Amino acid sequence: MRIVIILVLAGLMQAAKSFGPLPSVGSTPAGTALACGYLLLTAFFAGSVFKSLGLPRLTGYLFTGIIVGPKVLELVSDPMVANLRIFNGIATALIALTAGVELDLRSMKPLLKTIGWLSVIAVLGTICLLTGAVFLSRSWLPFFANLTLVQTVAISVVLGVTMVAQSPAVVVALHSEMQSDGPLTRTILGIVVMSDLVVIILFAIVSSVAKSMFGSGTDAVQAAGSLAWEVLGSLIIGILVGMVLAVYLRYVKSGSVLFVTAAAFLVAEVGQRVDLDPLLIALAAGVLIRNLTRHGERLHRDIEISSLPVYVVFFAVTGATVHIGELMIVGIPAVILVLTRATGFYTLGWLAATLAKAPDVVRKYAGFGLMPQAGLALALALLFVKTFPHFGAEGSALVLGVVAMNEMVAPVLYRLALVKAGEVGQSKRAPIAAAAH
Amino acid sequence: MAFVRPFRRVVSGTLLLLGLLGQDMGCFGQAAAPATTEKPADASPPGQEQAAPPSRRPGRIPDMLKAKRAARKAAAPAAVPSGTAGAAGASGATATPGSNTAASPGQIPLMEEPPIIKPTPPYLGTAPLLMQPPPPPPPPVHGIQTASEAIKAILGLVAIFALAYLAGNARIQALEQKLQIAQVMTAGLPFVLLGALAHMQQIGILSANVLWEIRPLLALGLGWIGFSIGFRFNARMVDSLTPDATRMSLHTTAFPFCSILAACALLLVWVEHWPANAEFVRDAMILATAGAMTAYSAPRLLEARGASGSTVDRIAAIVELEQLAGVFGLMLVAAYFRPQASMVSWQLPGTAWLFMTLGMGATVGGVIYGALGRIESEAEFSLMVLGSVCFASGMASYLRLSPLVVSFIVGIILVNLPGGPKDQIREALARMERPIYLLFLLVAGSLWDPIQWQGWVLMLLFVATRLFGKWLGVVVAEKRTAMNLTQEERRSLIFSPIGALSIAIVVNAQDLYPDATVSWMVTAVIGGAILTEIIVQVASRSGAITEPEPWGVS
Repeated sequence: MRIVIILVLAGLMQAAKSFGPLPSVGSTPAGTALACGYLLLTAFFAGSVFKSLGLPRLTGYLFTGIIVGPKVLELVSDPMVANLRIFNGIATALIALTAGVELDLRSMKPLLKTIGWLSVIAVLGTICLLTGAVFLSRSWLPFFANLTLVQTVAISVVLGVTMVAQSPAVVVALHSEMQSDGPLTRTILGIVVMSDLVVIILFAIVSSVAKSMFGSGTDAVQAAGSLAWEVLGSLIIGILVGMVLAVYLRYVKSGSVLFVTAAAFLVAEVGQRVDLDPLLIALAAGVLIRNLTRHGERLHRDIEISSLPVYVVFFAVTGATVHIGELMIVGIPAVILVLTRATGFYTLGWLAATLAKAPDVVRKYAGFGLMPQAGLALALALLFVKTFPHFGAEGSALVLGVVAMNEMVAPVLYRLALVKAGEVGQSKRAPIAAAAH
Repeated sequence: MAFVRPFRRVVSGTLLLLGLLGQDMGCFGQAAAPATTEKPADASPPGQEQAAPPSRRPGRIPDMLKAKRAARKAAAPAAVPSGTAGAAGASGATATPGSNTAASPGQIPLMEEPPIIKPTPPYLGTAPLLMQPPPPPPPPVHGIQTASEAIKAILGLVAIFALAYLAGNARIQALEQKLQIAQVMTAGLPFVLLGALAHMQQIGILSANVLWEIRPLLALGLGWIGFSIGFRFNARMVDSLTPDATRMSLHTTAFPFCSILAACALLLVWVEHWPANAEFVRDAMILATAGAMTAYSAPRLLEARGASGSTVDRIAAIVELEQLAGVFGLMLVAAYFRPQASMVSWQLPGTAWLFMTLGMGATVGGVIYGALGRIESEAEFSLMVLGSVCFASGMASYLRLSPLVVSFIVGIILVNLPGGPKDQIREALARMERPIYLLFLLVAGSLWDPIQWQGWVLMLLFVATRLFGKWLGVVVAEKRTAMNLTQEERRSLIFSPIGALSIAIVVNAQDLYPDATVSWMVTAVIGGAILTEIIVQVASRSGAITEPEPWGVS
């Protein structure tokens, strides 16, 4: 029945497109509303079909976006996808807020050692592996042809840092969907949040250094200032946002769902326009509320109620932006890099967890939790294009190809890992939207 | 083979009839478009191409088209100056009655092709006699340009959102009741004014660029209002209607409709082109449709004054039927008065668009009905309701139909099909109704251009003729039906407030037909709603006991 509904919706969408505005008219606000409604319904049902197949709903949302998006069926066009990107910011902020609320520092204290080892060995080690893999694959990548050896190494490092980025969004959404809790869940959450910070800082440093290799010297003070503004500024603003949310939750008993959604919208839209990181802002706010107030649970529940439509559209739109074309062009090196990344995370994750004397489930499955990739890598790919305009687009295509493959496979693997670790359904939270996510 | 000949005759006769009907409907459907008969091909300057006709025309028989093309080809070289013949012939735009006569008898089709419609800028013909011509529509805008503009808009929107939230707060509502302004607040009119203020250049929160970005909310808001109203029309409610109530509502709808139509059409005919297009008919019909209805708050107002339950129910039933008539009127206008032809790729006759509207609503409603059986949690219900309304209204708006009407049909389908989680849908609607409704009014207010005085003149006429029509409808209905209205009921029906649906109808019209004259109608209806609200308040103060409780779409 669900498949029939999906097919009928696709038929209606196709009919609307054939009757609708002429191509020359372009995207209209009505087209945006239509695409939003269509993606909400179709991705939701696709998610439930995937769930019945034992796959994450999230993969269903992503898959829907890929299939109905501009690269395959074109039921949702490029301008429609562009207009729906407003959901990305809100979803990112809500997800980061959730991640922050999940980060109970007291209960995570025993895991800090493992998180530290994993961040250093697995993340930094995988950056080295990816750098090596990019360097060795350069014969397949034409944009390396005119670079000197030093420049090649520098760009390989930048691409290595870019491609190591993980996805707190996917991880948090999967945890929420699976109602998982336990050492693996908490450790992975801690690492993806931590490595998000590490990757942002590393990218800023290595891209500045690499840029100087091309003769366009960068002002180190200016670069440091920008980085400090982005990281420290975001954290400070995040603390302020957290205080406002805490005051609201403390004194106002109703309407907090709307308030939290509005705050997420504000953080996302204003933050990115003043070069702050919405993810860090929301994360800091969430951590503050969880660890310094008694309203963490209520905030978590409010986010779960409001976030379902936002998540569905966000992941469907993310799927629609998967660059299938690029995947075909950079196929072989992208496959090599995906395998290198997965191998690096798995083996180095095992090594780091063993050194940290982590529980068995963490040793066995931590690598799978590091594999999901989405928003941050895409954002860094765009920055790469800006930083290296001469060949940035080609390098970005490689990153997009890797992200596309990881988007399709990694959530499935991590879901399996959570099931094997026996942490599914262990969350004590009331499953308000458990079936939903 | 003997049966073949009469069969052929029947088929060809049917095709001919269909062709005639299609041509007839096609002309009706395109009546709204400012159109002129295209000049003969030889009148065009050398080197200039004729405008291409729509790719598909309604009511054509393929054989006739072939014959026409053959005739065109034969006539084109002689009629078109060299250099343009090829292009014109290829586009098929040079066919004229004159060229038909040049074709051989064998090539003459069964039917004359109607004159080719060519859009022309409005208001270039006869000069308006009473009012100045409206200004041309504003240039298109394409999104927010600068970060500061974005931040200003976001902060402004958040501030307005906070106000919307405060408006729903219980303490604030209690204060409104104390100040006896709850009805005005419930109708959401302050948000219309807030939207208009936010749109002002000096404030610039909802600038044209920002409005372009948040315009999808308009379709969603219209759809939401339609869906909410449709979801109230269950079979039980219709069964409970007495014939007298039906007749009464017919009168209280038809009389104001006719009076507004006549008066506003007369006024509008001075400012729009006569007889080149039928825009004044369209505009007057929209105004009449918006004015014919009474807001849902009317029975509540009665209830608050201490009227008996049966009185309130009677008035509520009449109001429900009036709303149905209003939606039906909008459906007809949206189907038969299509926007400019270039906005959609398919050119269909008006009746086909009418069926398209019905079919779209029924199909989407059926799909959603099938889908809702699979839903488990509260969050999923909210998602499904939001997705359904967004999809239905987006699709309607995309095809330049009314999102309000299509969503209304979806609502009717969902509430009247057996079984299904109706209570959960009702809860989901109630949960999201207020914020979406207020946001819609905000956007509606920002689209309002109250500067043009013509709109205010229209408003005075609109309010006066509406009151007159309502009064006449009640008087005639009382004489022709067995209904004995109490003084309170009579006053409630005559001094009836204008509700969100009326505002939604003109805002929908503005979305469909971005002509300058439609903005006058928005002024007429929004201004009329405010003026009527004041009249209703003054009328109700005399016997008022308490103010009605706030509710969603008023």
